[in-house]
Amino acid sequence: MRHFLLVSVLLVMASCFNKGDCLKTNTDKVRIVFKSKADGKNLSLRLNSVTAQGFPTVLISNQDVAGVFDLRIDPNQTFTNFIFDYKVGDVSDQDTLKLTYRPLARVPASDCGAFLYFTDLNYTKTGFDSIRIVNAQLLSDVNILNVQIFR
Amino acid sequence: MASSGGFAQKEKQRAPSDTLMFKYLPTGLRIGTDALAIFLSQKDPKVKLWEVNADLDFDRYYLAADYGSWSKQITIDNSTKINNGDYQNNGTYYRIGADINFLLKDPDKNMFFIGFRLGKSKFDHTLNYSMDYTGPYATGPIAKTISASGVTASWTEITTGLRVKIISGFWMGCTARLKLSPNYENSPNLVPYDIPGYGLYEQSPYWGFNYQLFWRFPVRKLKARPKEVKEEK
Repeated sequence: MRHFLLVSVLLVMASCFNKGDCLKTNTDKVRIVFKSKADGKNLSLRLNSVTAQGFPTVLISNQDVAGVFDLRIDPNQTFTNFIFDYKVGDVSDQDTLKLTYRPLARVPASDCGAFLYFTDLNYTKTGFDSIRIVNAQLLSDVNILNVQIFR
Repeated sequence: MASSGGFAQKEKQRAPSDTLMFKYLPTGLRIGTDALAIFLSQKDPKVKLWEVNADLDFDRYYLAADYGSWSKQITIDNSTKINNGDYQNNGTYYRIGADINFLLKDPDKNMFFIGFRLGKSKFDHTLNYSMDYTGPYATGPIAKTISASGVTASWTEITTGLRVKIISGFWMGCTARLKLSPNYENSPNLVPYDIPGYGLYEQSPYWGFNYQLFWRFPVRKLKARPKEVKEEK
């Protein structure tokens, strides 16, 4: 009985060594798509500029996009207020979009480091007609869209 | 005669249920501590652990409960200069459950058991780290401190192990725990890395192990079971 106790101790201790997975799936980019209100298809547009309120840096400047583009959010805050200056066809427009989110720090394993995830994505203020959040978590998977803007 | 005959009849009917009650009365309370937790606390100044364990027998079934304290400071180091720091937690936990003993005929009441536990813990935790960042909102690494107080967590365990009588009143044992389904509340900005009583949150199922020393306090003497009354034909 006592030998059995010792052997079982060694067996169980040997089974305790397992390592974590360092797969990194977080991003600070929100993936946005412009869609047509009429037929739901992606809209091609020209982004003259996209800026974040309170910061001098221009996030996107004079870029033609086929509907989908990425914008980086502020990792130090729980919101970012974007200002869009854009042109669809011959019509130029300016709108704002305030996105809110929850930063969530995660340590997959002690030898992986700490990563900041952003979840619970939502919007509080916007000048756009219609907006839909299709995925509330920002992930590095390129196939995941976060925000649909209808025009 | 008629009344004494009736009394004998009542005795015949009552005897089996009395035997059953006797069988399920506890014979002793075993109280112990986890020697591995004490050893780890002595070995590593960044780890402070202790745990007390208790069980009470009801024939082959044991009611088991554990209570412990858990404080760890864990260095996060991915061998680069980015996203490193440390994680600290401090809290208490308890587990409650039952074991079934499979060594029924052992005269020393040694145990080989399988059981289950429900675990709960309450703790505070903090993550300090430096995040590598190059972008429009800042330049250079961003230092972050994220903490949460009063975080609660719960999980379930499947347990197995041994209890071996070494000398009268003193027992040694080990418990292996397969810990499952951890979940937590009240920590909106930080996923727990290490949950007191559970271990690494990101790993489920997760193994745990205790090497325990027990002292048994008898609550009644273990007597030979009374012979069952056989019905006369």
